[in-house]
Amino acid sequence: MSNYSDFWLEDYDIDWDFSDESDSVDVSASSTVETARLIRLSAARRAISNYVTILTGKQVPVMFNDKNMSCTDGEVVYIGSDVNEKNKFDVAVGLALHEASHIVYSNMDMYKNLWQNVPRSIYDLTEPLNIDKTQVAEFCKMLFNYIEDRYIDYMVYSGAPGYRGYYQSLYDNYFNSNVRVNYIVHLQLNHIPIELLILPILIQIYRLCLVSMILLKN
Amino acid sequence: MKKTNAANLTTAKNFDMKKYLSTCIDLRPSSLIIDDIKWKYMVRSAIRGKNILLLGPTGCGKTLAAQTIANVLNKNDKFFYFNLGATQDARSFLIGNTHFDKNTGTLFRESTFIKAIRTPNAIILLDEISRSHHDGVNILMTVLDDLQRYLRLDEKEDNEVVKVAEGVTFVATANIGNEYTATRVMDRALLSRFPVKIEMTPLDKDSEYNLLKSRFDIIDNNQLEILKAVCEIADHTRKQVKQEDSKLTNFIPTRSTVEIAELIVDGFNLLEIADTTIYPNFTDDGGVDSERTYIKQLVQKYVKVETKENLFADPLKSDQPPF
Repeated sequence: MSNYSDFWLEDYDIDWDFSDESDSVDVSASSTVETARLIRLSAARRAISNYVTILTGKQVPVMFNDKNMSCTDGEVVYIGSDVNEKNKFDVAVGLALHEASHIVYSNMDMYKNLWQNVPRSIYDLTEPLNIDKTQVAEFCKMLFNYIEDRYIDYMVYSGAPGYRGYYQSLYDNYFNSNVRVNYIVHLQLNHIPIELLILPILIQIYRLCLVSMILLKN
Repeated sequence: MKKTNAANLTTAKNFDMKKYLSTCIDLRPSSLIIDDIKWKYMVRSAIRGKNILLLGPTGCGKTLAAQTIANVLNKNDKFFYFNLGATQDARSFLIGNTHFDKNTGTLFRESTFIKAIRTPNAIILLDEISRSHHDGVNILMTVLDDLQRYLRLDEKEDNEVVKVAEGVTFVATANIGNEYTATRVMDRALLSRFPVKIEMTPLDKDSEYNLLKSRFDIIDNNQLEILKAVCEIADHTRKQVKQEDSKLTNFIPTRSTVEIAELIVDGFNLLEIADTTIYPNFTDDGGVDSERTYIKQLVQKYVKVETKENLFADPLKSDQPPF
C-alpha cells in the first residue's frame, strides 16, 4: 500500500510502525510502552491536525478516540482511527480532511436544529404511517449527511489534487471493504423504521434533502 | 492620464488639488496594488512636499510604492534612495566625510544626502528607517521636522546649515513587529514627524496572481497552475502567521513570490521551487511537529498524485455503465 504521508515524513529517520514495540523501547516495562505510545500518538495527532488547519484556515482542536467514530460539531474534530501503524496514517489524514471539510462546507446550524429544518412535505408523507417525527428527522439527517459527505469530499478531492491519495486510502478502508460497509449500514439503519424505506417515500425524502442542501448552502 | 510633473503643479497658479486628486487614481500603474485612499494620500503628500511613512511587513511593496510615486509624478531625476539599514556610519552617510590632502589640508566632502535635500521638489526615500542607527535618527530629526527642515553640517569648519529645499518629500519605510529583530523601536518624536502613516498590507491571492501573471506574461496553463498554487500557499502563510496560536512564525512575502514567478517562467516545477525557495524559510526544529512539516503538508495539497481510481469520476462521461 502506498503511503502518501511519506511526503512529509520522509525527512525524519524514525520508524513510524509502532505496532512492533520491541525496536526502541523495553516492552517488558508496561509504563514505558504506554509512554512511548502516548508520545507517538501526540506527534501523529499534531501532524494530522495540521491538515484540519490547512483546510479550514482555523486552529481547530483535533481529538482522537478509540471508538472508530469520527465526527465534528464545527468546533472540535474527533478522529476515530488507530495511528499505531504507519499505513493507518493515510486513513487518519483522510478522516481529518473529511471532518475539516464539514467545517468548511457544512451548515452546522442546520444539523443542530434538524427537527425544525425537515421540510413539512416530508412529515406530510410520514404522518399517515404513524412514524415519530424524531425518527424521520434522524433518517433525514442520515440521508442528508450521506449526500453531503460525497459533496464535501468531491470539493476537496477536486480542489486539492495532492490530497487525493488520502481519500483513496479512506475509501479503500471504509467503502471498498465489505466488512466495514456492512458495519456502517448496520449502524445507520438499525434504528430506522422499515416503513421509511418504502421506495417512493425514500425517493421523495432524498430529493427534498438534496434540494434543501442546495438551498441552505446558497 | 498622462504623467505629471509635480514641480510644475506646486508652482502652477489656479492648481486645483481637490480636482487633481479625484482623478489621480488613473495614474496608478497596474504593477502597484494599493488602496485608492492610500494612493491618493501618497500623491497628495508628494505634491505638497509632506513626509510619508510606509509601514508593513517585509516584501509587501513599500519601496516599490515610493519608486512608483516618483515615476508617475515625473520625478525620476529628483528621486534619491538611501537605505538607512545598510550603513553603520550614519554621520558620513547623511552628512559627509572629512578627508586629508597633504597639499590643502583637511577638506569636507558632502554626502549625496545633502545634495538630495538641496534639490527642490525631490522625493527622498529613507528605506528601512526602523533599522537605522540612533545617530542616523538624531541627524534626521531636524530634517524631518516640518518647522525646522534643516541639517547642520557640524563636520564642516563653518558649521554650515543646509535648508531643505522647497517641495522635498521624505518617504520612509519601516517594518514594525517582533519578528524584525534587527529593527529598533521608533520613538514617538520620530513617528510624530510623519503625521499620517500608510500601512501597506500584503497582497491577497487573487491580486498577487493577476499581478504576477501579467508582469511575467505567463500564458502556459501548467505554469499558471503552479503560479496559482504558489499564490494560494503564500496567502495561507500570511493569514496563518497572524492567527493566535499560529502553526507558523514566518510567511512568504511578495518579494519571494516574484522570485518564484521567475523560476516558473524558467521551467521549474512546484516541488523544485518548494525545495529551494519555500521550505528553507520554515524551521524543522521540533521534528514531525515543526513548521517545516506544516509547510510541506500545505505544498502537498497542490502536488498531483497518481491514485488507482478517480473516486469522483462522472458516470455520465465514463465508458463503463454506472451500475
